[in-house]
Formats: sequence, C-alpha cells, structure tokens
Amino acid sequence: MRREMRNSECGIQNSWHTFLIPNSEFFVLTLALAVPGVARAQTTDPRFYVSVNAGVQRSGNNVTQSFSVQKNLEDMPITADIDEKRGVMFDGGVVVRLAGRFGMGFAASVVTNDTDANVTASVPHPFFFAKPRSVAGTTPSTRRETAGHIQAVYLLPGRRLNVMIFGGPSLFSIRQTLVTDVVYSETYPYDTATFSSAQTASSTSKTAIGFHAGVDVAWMFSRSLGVGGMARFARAQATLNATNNPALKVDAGGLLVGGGIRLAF
Amino acid sequence: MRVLKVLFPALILALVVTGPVGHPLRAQARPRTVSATAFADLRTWDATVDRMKRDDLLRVRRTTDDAQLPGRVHERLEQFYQGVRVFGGDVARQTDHGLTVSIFGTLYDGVDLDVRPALSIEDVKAIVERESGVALGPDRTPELVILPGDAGGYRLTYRATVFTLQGDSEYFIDAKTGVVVLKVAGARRQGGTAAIGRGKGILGDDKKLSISSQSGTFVASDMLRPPSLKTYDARGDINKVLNFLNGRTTLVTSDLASSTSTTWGDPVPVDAHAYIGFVYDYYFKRHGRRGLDNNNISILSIVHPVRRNDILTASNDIVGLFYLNAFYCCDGVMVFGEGLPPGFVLTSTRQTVNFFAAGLDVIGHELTHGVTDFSSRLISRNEPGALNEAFSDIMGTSVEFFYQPAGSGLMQADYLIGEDVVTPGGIRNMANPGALGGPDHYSRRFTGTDDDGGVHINSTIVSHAFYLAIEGGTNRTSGLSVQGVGAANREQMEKVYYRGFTQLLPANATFAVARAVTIQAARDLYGVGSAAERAVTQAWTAVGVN
Repeated sequence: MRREMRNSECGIQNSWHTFLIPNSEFFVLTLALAVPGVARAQTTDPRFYVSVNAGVQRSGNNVTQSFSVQKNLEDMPITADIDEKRGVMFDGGVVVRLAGRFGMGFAASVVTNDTDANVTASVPHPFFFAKPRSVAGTTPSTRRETAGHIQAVYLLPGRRLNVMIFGGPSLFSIRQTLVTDVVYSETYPYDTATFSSAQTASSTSKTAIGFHAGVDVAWMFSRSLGVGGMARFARAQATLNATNNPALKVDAGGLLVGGGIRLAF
Repeated sequence: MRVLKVLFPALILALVVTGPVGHPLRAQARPRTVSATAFADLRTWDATVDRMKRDDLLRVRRTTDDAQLPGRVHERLEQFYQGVRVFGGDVARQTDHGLTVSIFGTLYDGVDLDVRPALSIEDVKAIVERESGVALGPDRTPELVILPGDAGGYRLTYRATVFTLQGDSEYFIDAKTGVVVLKVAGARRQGGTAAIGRGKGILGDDKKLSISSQSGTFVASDMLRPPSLKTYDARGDINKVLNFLNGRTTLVTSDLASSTSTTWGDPVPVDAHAYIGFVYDYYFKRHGRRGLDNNNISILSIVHPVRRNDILTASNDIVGLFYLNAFYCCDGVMVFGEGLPPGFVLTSTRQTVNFFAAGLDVIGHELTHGVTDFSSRLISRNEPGALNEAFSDIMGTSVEFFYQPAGSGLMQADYLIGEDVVTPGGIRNMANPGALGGPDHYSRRFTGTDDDGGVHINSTIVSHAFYLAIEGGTNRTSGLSVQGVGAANREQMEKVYYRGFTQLLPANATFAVARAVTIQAARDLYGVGSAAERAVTQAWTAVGVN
C-alpha cells in the first residue's frame, strides 16, 4: 500500500521530510542543526509549557545608604554599601500557546542574596564639637526580590528543542535589610571608637513595575519532559524606606540565568 | 566707668605669724636638703633612707609606678619622730627595677621633744573656733605634727585647716600650751544617667558638657569620665559655701548646677564644668595621671558663690576671695570667683575681671594645686610655695596649649596667666614677668613676708625658666641665652616638669632643688646630654638658680 506523505496541519510529520519545511521555520532548523541528533518537529505541538528553574542573578546593583543620626548633639553620618551583584534565583512559569507560535505566560521568580553590608560612620566626640571618630565594620544583609513576569511569548518549537522568546512587564517587590544605626563601643578618653554592630531593619518596597525580556531553550527527552535553560533580563526601580533613612531608590532585577525542568502538554 | 578699689588677687593672701616659732627649744632644727643623683651620693642616701625606714623615722606615704617610664617606681616617705609626723620632712626616692636612681628630700636632724600633747582634740577645735570664728565639723580632725621652726627648734603642734572669708587657713597650735604658733593662708588661689549637654561659654564659644539626667532635669554631674566631676551652683549663698567648706553641711543634688534641657543658658557652669573635664583629660592624656590624687578623687566645684550685683555691699574680704579669685580649697574642692560687674575695673591696673570660670589656664592652675597636694605636698610659703604656684602656672599654661591654638587673643594659648579673665593682659606673664611686675631672676626675688613669702610673686622666676626651656631666648636680667626645645617639643618640657614636680620634688624644696629634680627628670626621660636636659639646665642658670 502506498504510503502518502503530507504535511500535517500542525507541522512536519516526518523528520526525513524536514527539507520540506516552510521557510518560516528556518530559524528553528538552524538551532536544531546546531545540536547533534537534531530536533525534529513534533507531530502535535503542546499547548502548555511549564518551566521550573534554579540559577543565579547577576546585576550591577549596589545599595548605597547615606544618612545621619543624632549622637552627642551632632549628626553622625553613616554610610552602608551593600553589594547586590549576585543572587540565587528560583523561578517557575507557565506558557500557554494561544495561536500559532504566539502565547502568553506568567513567571514568578525569587532572588535572594545574603551578603555583608560595609558600614562606616563618623561618631561625634562626647566632649568636643567637630572631632568625630571613624568606625567601620560589616553587618549581615539579606535581599529578597520577588517578581512576577507577564510574558508575551513567541514559540519556536522543534521536535526536541523548544525555544521561546518572551518579554513583557514585570512586577517587583523587594525586601531588603537596611542599616538604621551603628552601635559602637568607646572608653575614656573617647578619642577612638570601635564598631560593634549595626542596627538593621527589613524594608519591603511597594510593588514596582518594570520590564523583562528573555529566551528559554528546552531540550525535550520526550514529548512532555525535558530540561532547559533560561536567560531573562529584568529591570525595575523600587523605593525602600527604613528608620533614619531617606527614601532609598534601588534597582531590582538583572540578568537571570538558570536551568531546570521543562514540561509540555 | 566705676572703679572698684580692691587688692590685686595674689596679694590678698597673707602669712600671719601669730606667735613665736621655736619656743621652747629642745633642739635646733637643722634641715638637711637631700639631692642625690650621683652614684656615691645615692649609695649613702639609699642606705640612710633604708635605715630610717627600719627605725620608723621614715614611713612610706605612697608608692606609685612610673606612668612615663616602665620599671620605675616612686616611693614617697615622710619623716616621723616617735610616731608623730615631722611637718615638711619627706623624701622622694626613685628606683629603676629596684636600683635607686634619685633621692630628693628634706630631713630634719636633732628632733628631740616630748610628743605627748597636753591638749585634747576638742581643746584644739575650741581654740581654732576662737581664733577663726569657725566651728569645725566632726570630720575635721586636727593632726598632731612636729613643726620645725624657721629660726630653729621644733614644736609639737596640732595642725588644723579652716575656711573663712579670708580663705582656707592652716593653724599650727602648740599642743602643750594652746598658743597659735603659725597661721598660713593655705588656699591656693588664682590670684543618674549620662547625658551630653551644650551651651555657650562666658566668651561665647560653643561647648559640650558631660552631664547627667536626674528626674527630668539635667545636672552638672559628669558621668563619662572616671572620677566624679560635679559643679554646684551656690546661687549667691555664701553662707552655704562657707558651711560646706568647713564641713558643717553637705551639698546635695539640688545644689548642682542644672538646666531643664540639654541646652544650658548660664555660661558660668558651662565653662567651669567643661574646663574641669579638660584639665582632668590633659593630665590623663599627657601624663597618664588619673586625677588629682592619681586615683580618681572626686572634683567638686562651686560657681556663683556670691551674686555679682551684691558687690557694692560686700566686704573687702568677700570681694577679694569670692569676686576676684578662684581657689582650690582641699580634697578636690574648687570655687570660682564671680568677677566684677560690667563697668567695674581694678583700680591699680584698670583691668576688667570676668567670671573666673572663663579661664582654662586658671582652672588648670587651681586643680594643679590639688595634684601638688597629692604628690610633692609643697608647703605653701616661701620658696616651696613659689614652686607650688609656679607649677600651677606651668601646668595651667600647658593645658591651654593642649586645647587652644597658639595666639594672643581670647581663648588662645599663650604664656599669660588668666588673660581670658583679667583683661587686658592677665595677672602674670611667664614670657616676660617684668611686664606685670614679677621677677624674672633669682636676684630680683621678693624676700618679704607678704604673699606668704612671695609665693605668687616669686613664682615667675620658675615659670619663666619653663618658658625659656621651651621657647628659648635671653633672660633680661642675666643676659644669658637659652636654647629651648622649641614649641613643637613643648611636650618634653611639660613631662620634665611634671615628673620633677610630682615625683621627685620634696615638700620643702628650694628653687635649687627644683633645678636638680627637673634636670634629673630630663635625664630620666630624654637621656643625659639630651636637648631637654640642656634646655632645662640653661633655663635655670639664666634665671639665676644654680
């Protein structure tokens, strides 16, 4: 019986006919060729894609606090520098293919960073005006960025390799440990002081709106299970408030790179 | 401008000898000055001191580790005869890891008298009350001492200190007969919760104050420095001040200078309280000394002992002591004079007199009397008295240079004493003593009996030597030049004089002994042949003390 070969409605049915694919899918092909055992188009593209990732966030974010508190009848200037350039990221998302290669998705990510804040202060002398003593030290600081990403997705599905390009608005909330005061020790004659610790408070920002864009590449072991990698750049600016501090504008987001499980169904 | 006739502060002090000294004589008083730094002398005197200790002729009053030179120990011994202290007889021995380095002192030979008093303590108190008009409180117990006479001989006496409108006075009362043998004006005068306060000083500068909070009120009680430093406001109640000084009443918390907020309005307690702290800090930072007694004794000061506006109705005694003076009384107590109201000047010099609390050097001077009381115990008359006053001027000026920029204006460091209070010019000039009538050379010393034998007057011979040792220059009388260590090295001279005067000098020292101890101190600290030793030596020679 003669076997007919034809294009399915949804894509290429047989890998050995890949040369018949429409020109619009050339990009997928190119990506697939880059991998040994190149992916082939699936017989039926899934409607739902789920991803779970772990990874890191890299950014140029630094939190710099500069404020004063009153000590010994003078201002005690305090600065705190917190390096937020690196964080651990957990991310999950779902994409619904709506029509053709277009879909919508939602992803949520949590980035945490435990680091030390470098704190300096000029402690006014108890007996004299304008004779401050310098102190410096570190204090633990934790930052937790929680973000929701509403995604417009363009899907480039292959037989094994699925690629998604996405972007859209992001909603950020930041919970950040901020320095609110410095504790120091001093003994007579008080010409020097020693940093003991810093008083801190956790500040949670109001929801800040930003944006994101990224790409997700998945290698499917089977029709519904695979692994993948994701890179997303997201950015927003949030405002933090803490005791003794003026309103502090901080950058959120950065380049998130991670990998994890992919589900498709 | 109204002119108030008053005596110059330094001249208000008077030595009053009210009875013959040295009668009855059981032996001739023969003071021996000890000044041993050479090996042969040291060996002899070391043995003598040890023998006298064994025989209970010398008793150790205090042994202190040297704060400047590790390993050095200073032993102060007082002379006793049959258990009674010989007034003015003492020895200061310095050792380095057990080896004696120097011995200075005054010892009295030939003491031979019956040390059993005929009078009781109560008898003596009654005599003191009769003589002074002051009833001593229960804590004021006269001390039985053997008093060497100026003209020779010894007398068993009771020594009692009382405070009157003329100042504090030492009475020496014959323990057998009740005769007042000697009366010495002893006052060394100038001529809750921790909180920080602020206020303007008398000259308008902003100052911080270490105060405390008690029941919602801020009081002038320093809780940040190791000792208790309290400033009381007598609010013009002179009777309360006198009763306190004589031990008949105590000052309570409500007597402390106070403010309802941390910002103080009255500049007088602001300056007094701040400057006393400064002086304590100077001694600690520069010399490692912990307060007047080196053991953080409390310092209590009193401001507004009188009201300025009452000056026209005040007696000359009150004006002289409580308007035109500041004085260290005893046991860490200091009183600040009120100065003259605006528009009044001193008759003799046309100078105005501000609140005495305005003078950092004044307060340094007075508190240094406390340091002397707890170290060399220099006797407050004649040459020891002049050394006492000179050391106070030297340290008062050093405190000024420690905190203030050098210059010639108000609140600037210079070699004038009291220039921020008695204006213009101050009351003594260490750089050029003659400018204010003081002698700059031993040959010009005052030899009369006023001023306790010229203790303030002759002090400028010594303090001028200190000036020359730092700044260098030529003594106007001798024409001899001195190569000083330079202003940048003033710390060297401050340490040399501090060491000499607090650790090596005996109570009855002469200028010549002061020369020897300061040279020894310079050798101790900076080495034989050092610039410091050369400067000290040249300076003493230039002022005629050899």
